[in-house]
Order: sequence, then structure tokens, then C-alpha cells
Amino acid sequence: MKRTFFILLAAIFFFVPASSYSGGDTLPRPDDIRYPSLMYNPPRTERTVLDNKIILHTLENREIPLVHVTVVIRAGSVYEPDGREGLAEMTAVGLRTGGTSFMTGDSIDEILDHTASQISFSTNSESCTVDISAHKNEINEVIRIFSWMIRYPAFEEKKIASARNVKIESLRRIQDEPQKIAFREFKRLIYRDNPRGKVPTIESIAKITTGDLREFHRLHYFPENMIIAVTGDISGKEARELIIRHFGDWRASGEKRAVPDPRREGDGSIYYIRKEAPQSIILIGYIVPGKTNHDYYTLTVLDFILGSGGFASRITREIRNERGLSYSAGSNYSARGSYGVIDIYSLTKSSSTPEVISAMKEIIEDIGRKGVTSGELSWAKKSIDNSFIFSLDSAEKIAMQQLMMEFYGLSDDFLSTYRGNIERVSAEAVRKAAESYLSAGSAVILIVGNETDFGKPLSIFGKVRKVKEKI
Amino acid sequence: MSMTKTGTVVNRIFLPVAFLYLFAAAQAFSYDLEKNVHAYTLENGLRVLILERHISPTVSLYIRHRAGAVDEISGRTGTAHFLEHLMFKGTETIGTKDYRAESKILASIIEVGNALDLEKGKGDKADPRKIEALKKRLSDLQKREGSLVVKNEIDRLYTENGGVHMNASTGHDLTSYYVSLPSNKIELWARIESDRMMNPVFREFYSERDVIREERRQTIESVPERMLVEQFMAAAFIAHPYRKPIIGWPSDMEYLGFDYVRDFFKMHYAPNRTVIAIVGDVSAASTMELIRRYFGKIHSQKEPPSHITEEPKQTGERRVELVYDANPSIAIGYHKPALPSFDDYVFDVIEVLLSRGRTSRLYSTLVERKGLAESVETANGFPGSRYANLFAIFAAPRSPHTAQELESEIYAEIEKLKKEPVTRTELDKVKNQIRMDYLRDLDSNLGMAGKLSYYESVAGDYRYMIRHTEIIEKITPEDVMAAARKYLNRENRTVAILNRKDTR
Repeated sequence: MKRTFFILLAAIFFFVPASSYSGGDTLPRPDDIRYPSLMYNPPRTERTVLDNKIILHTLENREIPLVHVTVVIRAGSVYEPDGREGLAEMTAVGLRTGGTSFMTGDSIDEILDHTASQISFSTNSESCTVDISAHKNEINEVIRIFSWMIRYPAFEEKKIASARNVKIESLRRIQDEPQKIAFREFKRLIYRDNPRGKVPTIESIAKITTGDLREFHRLHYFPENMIIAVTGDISGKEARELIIRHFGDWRASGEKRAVPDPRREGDGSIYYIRKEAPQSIILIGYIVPGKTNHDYYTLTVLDFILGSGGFASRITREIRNERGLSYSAGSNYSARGSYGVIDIYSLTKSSSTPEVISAMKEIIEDIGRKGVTSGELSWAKKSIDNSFIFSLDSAEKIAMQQLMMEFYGLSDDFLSTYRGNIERVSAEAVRKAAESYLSAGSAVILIVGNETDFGKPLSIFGKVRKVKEKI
Repeated sequence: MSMTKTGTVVNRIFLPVAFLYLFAAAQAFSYDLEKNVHAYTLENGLRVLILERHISPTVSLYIRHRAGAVDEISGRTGTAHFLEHLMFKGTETIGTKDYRAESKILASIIEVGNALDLEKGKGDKADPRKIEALKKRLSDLQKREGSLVVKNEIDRLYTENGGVHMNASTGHDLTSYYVSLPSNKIELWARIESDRMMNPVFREFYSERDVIREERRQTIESVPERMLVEQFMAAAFIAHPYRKPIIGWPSDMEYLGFDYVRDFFKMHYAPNRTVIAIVGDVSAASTMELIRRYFGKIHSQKEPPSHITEEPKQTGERRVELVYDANPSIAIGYHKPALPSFDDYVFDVIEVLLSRGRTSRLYSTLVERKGLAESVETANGFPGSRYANLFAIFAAPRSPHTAQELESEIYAEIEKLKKEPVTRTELDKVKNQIRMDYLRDLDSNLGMAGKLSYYESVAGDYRYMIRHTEIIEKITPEDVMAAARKYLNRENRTVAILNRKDTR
């Protein structure tokens, strides 16, 4: 049984009181504490490919009588036609709320709410993800309804109108918060001339018709474009039967279109948006390689040391702790398949904006010039290695990792070789990666704030381009 | 507009069936939870809850001190939150190269910092030369201290040992510290946390005070809805400390002094005001043994005298306006008692009834059917649960509709609650949702450790969450009507509206 499998694996380790401290006055040095060894062979999902090419991963976990289903569909905003920005999201909302050939949207909502079941759709640039959670006794009905949403959507006009109105209002409200403005415009800038830079506007949403939704659905929602994970209180066999029952006879095909990777080269100039606010937002971004490139591991370590490894990472330490100039300052590496983005961010009061921009640029350049210390390298590697277990600490997360690997077409040994690949990253590789990928000339720098209160003009950092916002 | 084409219609009969087995499932789990949580109280009053969960070799650890913004004296708002930041600066044995040398410099830093604050506090009458001289001395001392400090050691230790979710939070009621670790590393947690409950060192005091000021700019002053809530709370409570912002009023934050932070720590972080919850792949017996060794010798403290002013009964509607460069929004709040009052359970039902899910009353009416709102949500027990609190409603109108239009529609829904009994089906839906919440809470180590420690701290007993589903089960349509009639009245409400500058 799967259950025993799970428990046996976890039971390999039991806590053994370490001998380092017996309760006296002198506490052990934290670095001297000896820990029992930890062994963990996370359970593996079972992979099935349906006749219609839906890829399915299942993993049983009987602890709580809930079943989780996650579905990833290659139907993100990169596939939107020009002038219809927001169509991917509107299609997802239309599928969820617009009813089906067999049941109105209102009736579906009633049933889902009454059984406290959840079907939630969300979209990003590459995909639409559906998260489903239900009591095990409900899951068959919920998946039946979900299959109707995907296979027989009705896109009821009044539901689409309501979704359109709500979306337009939320776009209007982006203007209320400088952080939201910054993220919207940063996306446009970092992915300029690439479909990933598509951002909905009030105008584009207003133009979207149910006809557009039907067409987007026809082109992108088909079995071969879909990956499913089923986990929780359900056996692998039951899970396969469940998905085959509701999706097995689905025969449809659509469009398979490759989308070009975003351009690497930025122009190093400063993009500026004037906004009356108590704080400025500074974002520095770079397009870098993603998970399929071997530099992925080096970039992971680089990003950790630069600004995502907590207080001890360079950006956070210097700008937040040393200078007290920011509450949020750090970096973030979001790696997709063939490309990724590293962004470095700080929020600071208007008058310290130039100081923080200088500090950020210096910290980035310094790694490219002088590299990282052996202490930093070993800290980063240990941290990444020791916390790896948390990416596989539940049946749901294990299945999610499999979906991610399927989606990006990563090799089967991606997870099993991950820690070794991190371990092999050298200090020199980190320096070189910083030098080549994070060079000043390839950066996109965005400042949202009020330049009149900065004390110095932004032009001291180079050419300044005023961004024309599109709301 | 039905699109029904075929005879495949889901009949309604399965709804009551769902209700029955969901109830059974929740009951079974309640029983299991009470049987599986190991609860202990140390001699110094420290309360420890352990739940073994062998899903993966990881563990989540929560420490909650019954200390929050409500416990601050006036003029010192933001202290509880500032203290939470300072707790990450290390101890006498973590974060220093030579504590004896460092402690002397720290004493001078505080002395000079206090003098500087005193002078700056004189405002126009302050002596600029004196301020410059003190700033220079402070900065020199900080440099000398810097050479003795090993920065960010607590963060470094947890991160390097695989810690994730490491964070802390301060509320009106509680201050909480939490982290998840590979389960073989639990001794590191005991070492760090017991040490910082006894010997914290508030290093980098003044630069951290600047950080929390930036935090206020980022999370309150740049976010219109948070600005509105701040005004809303200050109006809804005229005497009780729920009226003050957790992060503090700016003029208090700029002068938070070392001595009061230190006193606040001593008084409120005592083991007898602290609950630990541990959920994950551990053995309860050996974990308790470890906790006794590390936490057992922390001294308990006398309960601090309560200086918390009771909120007088509201005597009429209060309205407050925030003029801000943003789209409009509205907050409405009604005073009501805190848990474990029966009425608080009824408001848990009303909260779900009004705003949970697409079929909830406010969402379906205001967002879907009438198209007046972009969003609407409600919160029972706002902003805390140690004291009588609010049932609050937050909504954002959809242009060109106004906050005022939204307000009258919200009142129409509230009147309906008072006049018409909730149908059996609708009440069952709400109860199903609350039962499923309970099951979903059980699904993560961190979430579960958070819930256990929260209810143990605030309700005095983690079993509150077990009894909760049982009491909810018994609530009738008449109970809902009675609570609505008793509390959701004009004289008992506060309304805060954000209006845009240029529309006035």
C-alpha cells in the first residue's frame, strides 16, 4: 500500500537527543551542535499518458479526506493576439464562471459552494493553472463539472460582461498603488518586443468578446496541451479512472506554437515613472538563462548571495541592515524553461533614492569584478542543499515538481541531480555569471517615484527615458 | 440564462448527503486531533503543544507571546512590532565577537541615542549644533560596535541549516516567531529561541528604527486601503487600544526608546505568557525532553497589571473620511464581543454567509448581479480576539458607482439578515464551508502549528478549534437573525470612506 510506503520512508529518521547540551549555564555554540543524519526518499508519482496524450501524475496520501487536482494548460498570455491583451485571463474566468452546455454558471457555483469545493483558475504568461480541492466523496462530481468547463463551455454573456467590468475596475485601481504600477511597467520593459510583455489595458479588455474567448479556447484548450496531477486521499488507480472517465474520450486538437525567447540585451538606461508617493520603487532586471541551461545552478547560487538568501545576502544586508534605507530590498530569480529573469529591488524614501540606486549598482558590479567569498559560497550551497527537502515535503508539492518538469521539458534526473549540480558551482563561475549576465549595459532599470524629492537628478545614472504608462 | 441542452442535470438531492458525511468526517478528525496533540506545561508556565505528523522529515515551529500592540502604553505605539524586529539581532552568544566589549559600547550608544532623541524632540527649540555633535558621536560608536558584531547570525544559522518560512509577525494581540526546519535540526531552534527569550541583544537599534519607518511608508502610506483602515480603527475605537496602528504612529516611531522596549520585552515575553506549538516529524517525548533542557530555566514573570481601557458602548454612528489620490473604497464596522462568546460563533457564520464564495450574499448581489462593486469582503474578529472587536465589511465600488451607493446596498443586505430567517440550505452551505476549512487547516505543518498556538494563546485552549465546529453545527436561523438585530445597527457602526481628492 502507498500509505505504508509513505510512513516507512518518514520513519527512517527518529529524533535522537543530541549530546551537545545538558541544560547547564553554558549554551553550545550553534555551529557546534551535532545533528542526527536525515534520510528522505520522497515518494514518486506514477506517470500515465492517456490515449489523447493528456499527461497525468498521481500520488496517494491518505492522511486527510481531501483530494487535490492541479491542471496546467499551455494557454497563457503569450498566445494572445495583439490588441486583445488579457484574453488568456478572460478566457480562464469565462471557463470558470460562464457555465457549460449542461449547467448554468449559477448552478455550478451553487454546487461548488455548497460542498465547499474549490475550482480556481489563474493565468500567467505561459500557462493557465487550475487548482481543484474537494472532499474525496465529492471529487467525482467536481471533476465532472470541471471537465464540462473545459470541454463544453457556454461563456454566458452576462457572466463575461461581469468579468470584463471587474477586470477593468481592477486595472483602473493599479494606479492607486505605486508597487502595482511598477510591476506592470517592469513586465512591459523587461519583455519588450516579446509576447511575454503583453499586459492588459482597459482598452484591450473592453474589446474582448465572447467570440474571442471561444476562439482562444478552441486554439489552446485541448488534451495534448494539458498536464494533470492528482494527489491526496485517492489511490493511483482511482485517480486514473477518475481522469479517464471525464477526459478519456476527449478528442480535440488546437494550435501548437513556439514562442521566441525574450531578448537578452537591455540598454542600461533609466526608465522613470513619476508618481506622488512617500517611497520610490527601484527595480533592476536582467533576462538570463533558465532551467534547461547549465548556468541555471550558478545563477541560483549567484541570486542567493546577491539578494534572495535573506538578511545575510548582499543587497538586504547592505541596504536594509547597514543603512536602514529600506524594508524590502533583495533579489529574485524566476527561472522558466529556456530563460529566466533576475530582478533586484528596493523601496526607499524619496530622499534616499539616488543613494540606494548607487548602492544597488555597486553591489551588482562588485560581484562581477571581485566575485564572492568562500564563506558566502559555502553558506549559499548549504542553505540551498538543506532546504531542498521543502520543495518535496508533501504529495502535492512532489506532484507539482513533476508538472513543472513536464511543462518545461526538463530531463527526468533534474531533481535527483539538482543538489549535486549546486554543489559543483565554483566561486569563479559565480563571478563570471555576474560579469556576463548582470552587466550594466544589459540591465533594465525602472524607477517609480517623485524625482523632485530625490535631491539629485536621475540623469547622473545615465540616459533617462520617461515611461508612457498604458492603463 | 440556462444553456441546458441535455438531460444531464445534477439533482439537488446530493446536497444533504454531502452535508451528512462532511459532518461525520469533521467529527472523526476532531476526535483524532484531541487524542494526538501532546500538551505540556513547564514549571515556569511555558505551554507546549506537539503534534506528530510523519509526512516528510520536516517540522514547523511556532512561538507565540501573549504580547502585542494592545499592551503598549500611550505615546509608545509601535513598540511591540519594533521589538519583534530587534529580536533578530542576536543574543549575548549569537552575533558577537566579544560581548563584554560590545556591551559597553552598546550602553554608550543608548545613552547618546537617548540624548539625541531628547534634543530632537524639542522641535523648533532644538540646538542644531548639539544635534550634529550627538549624531557624530552616535555614528562613531556605531562604527566601533560594528567591528564587534557578526551580523544577521540568527538568519544565517536558520538559512544555512535549511530553515524556510522563517519570519515573525506582530498583531494587536500576539507576537509570533516561526520557522520550518528539516526535522533533525530541531535543536538549533531550541538553542536560538530559548537564548533569545533570555538574553536578546538589541543591536543596530537606531538603523532598525529607520527600517520600520520605511516599512510604514511601504505597507501603509503607499497603500490607500491600509490608510483607510488606520483611520477606520481610530474612529471605531475611541478608548480601547485596538484603535492604534500596530506599526505605530509616525511621531511615536521616530522616538521609540531603548528602555521601554527592554521593559516591554521583560514583562511580556515571559514563559508564562508564551505558547510553543510543534507540528511535524518529531517524537513528542524526546522533543519535550529537549524543550525542558533549553527552555526550562527561563524565569517566569508576574502577570503585568492590565492597563487596557475597556471600550465604552458606542452611542451613535461614527463617520470618517480619508481624502487620498486613489479610487474610492469603504469600511464598515460593528462592535461585538470576542470569542468564546456564542455571538462570536454566530458572526463566523454571518461572515461566510455574506462574503465567502461566488454565491455568498454580498458577492453575488454587489459584484455579480448589480455590478456595483469590484470586490467585497467581511471579517469577523477584526482586528483581534483578545478583546471585544468588530464585525467589519470592506468594499471597493466599480466606477462610476460610488462608495455611498455601495453603502446603502450593503445596509439592504444587512436588513435582510434581520428580517428573513436564513434558509436551511443556505445555512447548511455555510456550515459545510466551515467544516472544510477545518480539514484544510490540518493539511500543513506550518498552518497547523499556527492554529494550535493561536487558539491556545488567544482562547486559552487549542481545543477551541475542535469545539468550534460542534458549536457552529448547532447555530439556527433564529440565532443569525437575533445576532444581526442585536449588533448590526446604525448606532453601533463606524463607517470610513476613501474619496478621491479631485471629486470633492
